[in-house]
Amino acid sequence: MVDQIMAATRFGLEYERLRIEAASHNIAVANTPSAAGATSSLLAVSAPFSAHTHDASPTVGHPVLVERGADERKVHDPSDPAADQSGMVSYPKVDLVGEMSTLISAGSAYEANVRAFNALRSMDLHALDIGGGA
Amino acid sequence: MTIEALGAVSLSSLEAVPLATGSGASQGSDFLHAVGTGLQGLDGEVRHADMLASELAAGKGVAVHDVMIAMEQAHLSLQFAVEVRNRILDAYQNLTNMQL
Repeated sequence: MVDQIMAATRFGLEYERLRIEAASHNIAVANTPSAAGATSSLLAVSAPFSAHTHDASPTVGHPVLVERGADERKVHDPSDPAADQSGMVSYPKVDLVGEMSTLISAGSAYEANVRAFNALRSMDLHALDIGGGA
Repeated sequence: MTIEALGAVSLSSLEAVPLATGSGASQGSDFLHAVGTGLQGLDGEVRHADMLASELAAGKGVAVHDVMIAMEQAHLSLQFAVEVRNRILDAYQNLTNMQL
C-alpha cells in the first residue's frame, strides 16, 4: 500500500545498522597490529541513495560497507612478533571518540526509524477503520 | 418491466480467475479478477514473510528489521483483505435481506 515509505524506512534501518557494524569493527581492530608492511584499513558505510521517495520510481539502492585507508599509529615494542626491523608495531589509528558518538547517533537514528515505521503502521491500521461501522 | 435475477456467486469461479475473461460471467469478471489479483498479492506477501522468518530461524544472516517489516506488511495486507471481505459481505447481505 505504502511501499515507498516502507522502502525509505527499510533503507534507514539498514543504513544505521551498517553504521553500527562499521563502528564496532573499527573499535574492535583498534588494538590489533596490522601485518608488517600492510596498510591497515577501517570500515565505513557508503550509501547510494537518492532520497526521492515521492518519485514514481524511487532509486533506493543498498548501503554497503567499504574499506577506507587508515593512518598508522606506531608503538615501539620489539618483543611483538608483528614488529618491523626497527621494533615498531603499527596499529590503525582509530578515532575512538568519533566511533563512540557514531554508535550513539546510529542507535538513536535506528530508534527514530522504528518510530517512523510504527507511525506509518498505525496510520495504515486507522485508514482501514474508515467507514467500518460494524 | 423485467427485473434481471442476481447472478449466483460461486467460489469455484475464483480459482479460474486469471483465465475467466472469455466465459459466462461478463459483468462480474472484472470484479472477480480484481479480487483474485489482490488475493494472489496477499498470498505472495505472506509467503515472503514466512520464508524470511524461516531463514532468520535457520541463521542465514537475514536482518531482523527486514523480517519484521515483511511480517508487518503481510499483516497489513491481510487486514486490508479482511476489511474488503467485510464490506462485500455487508453489501451482499443487504441485497439478500431486501424485501421484494
